[in-house]
Amino acid sequence: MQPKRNAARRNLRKGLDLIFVHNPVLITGLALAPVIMGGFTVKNGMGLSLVFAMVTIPVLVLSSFLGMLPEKIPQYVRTIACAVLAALMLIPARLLAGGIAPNLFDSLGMYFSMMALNTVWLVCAPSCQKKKPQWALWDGVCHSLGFFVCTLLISLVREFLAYGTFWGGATALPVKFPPAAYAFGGFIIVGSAAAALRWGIDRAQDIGRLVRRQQKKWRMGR
Amino acid sequence: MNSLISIFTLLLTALVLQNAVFSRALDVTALLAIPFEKKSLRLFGLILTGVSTIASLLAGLLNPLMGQWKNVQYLRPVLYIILLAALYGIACLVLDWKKRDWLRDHTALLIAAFFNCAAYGAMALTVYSSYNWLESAASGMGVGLSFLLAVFLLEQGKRCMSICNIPKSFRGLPAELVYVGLISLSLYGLIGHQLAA
Repeated sequence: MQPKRNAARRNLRKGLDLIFVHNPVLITGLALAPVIMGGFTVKNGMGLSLVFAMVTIPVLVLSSFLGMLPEKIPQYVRTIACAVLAALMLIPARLLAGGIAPNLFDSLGMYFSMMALNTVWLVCAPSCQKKKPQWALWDGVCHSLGFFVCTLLISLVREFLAYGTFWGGATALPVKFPPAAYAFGGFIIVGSAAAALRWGIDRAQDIGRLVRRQQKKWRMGR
Repeated sequence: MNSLISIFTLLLTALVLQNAVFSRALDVTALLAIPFEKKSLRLFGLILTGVSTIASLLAGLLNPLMGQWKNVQYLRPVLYIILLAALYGIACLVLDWKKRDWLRDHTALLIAAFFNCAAYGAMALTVYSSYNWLESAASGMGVGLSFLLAVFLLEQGKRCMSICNIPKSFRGLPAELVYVGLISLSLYGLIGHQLAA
């Protein structure tokens, strides 16, 4: 019972790490293209996150079920099945995205549909074949949360810098630096955000280590 | 002669001015994040060039037929991805029959080369730019070749960065992203754009 509980705890922890410590975009560098090219307004960021979740979660769960099939079925057939599901998920995603903003699809252009080929599921699907469906689902949810947090932050900064607005509405600060919305602005801002997150994680780990050392000292002192 | 000139122009535009990596961020993940060796990355680029050329050619041939469909904007991306999956399936079947060991060793590379932003982007560009089948194939080839050019430029960048004293948090992916951003900015300037004063 205890090893089972420990494994579950480990899996839960691993999943939660995907939100910040192993963020799929800023730390691992997956699914960069849509964030760099499409994430220049908060609406776009929300739309991208929605499509990402709608594609990645079902594909990872399907991948886990495909892992239960006999080994005779070649790996490439499983990959094709995942790709077809990812493509089909674009249809409901597009219908839902219309609810966020009617012109979202036009604003994102080909980067909306490109989410169906995001590298997160391409990289994680083989490992999900060895996992139980509930853990594949957990992986998908945590990857989506990690993508959402990163995309939202980057698109918020870029919209504010480029247009001085938030969700299309004017803000009190008169900032306007249009290059933040361009491709090169995206590269530089995403690169800087990745460095900032790494710095933050390093500092948090340093503080954690220091606290643990102090606790140990206090315990020994008692 | 005219079509030859237009194809050459298309290739040059795709290679430099509208470089798939620097102007559209296509397949930047394969370039920066997936840990391919130098040789594998070049092989990946070559396979990608072949895939994007064939996929764009097929897209160029299919576009006039799809234009008559109802709700084509919903179905087109789905069809393009299914087309890529079919191409991947055919390639794997042939390799499984002829070179099983090679297929086993290069599974991850093949998946990344067939299911990626650049191959899909090359197909999508044929619609946005209303290319005919020949122009579509040339533009697809340009996308693949532009990836190879980006690989070469990034190798030079990495070589220079390895002898620089980069702050710890910027080492690796962040510095490479900023480097790609600076090349992208220079290409933006090369086209003749000027930043707002």
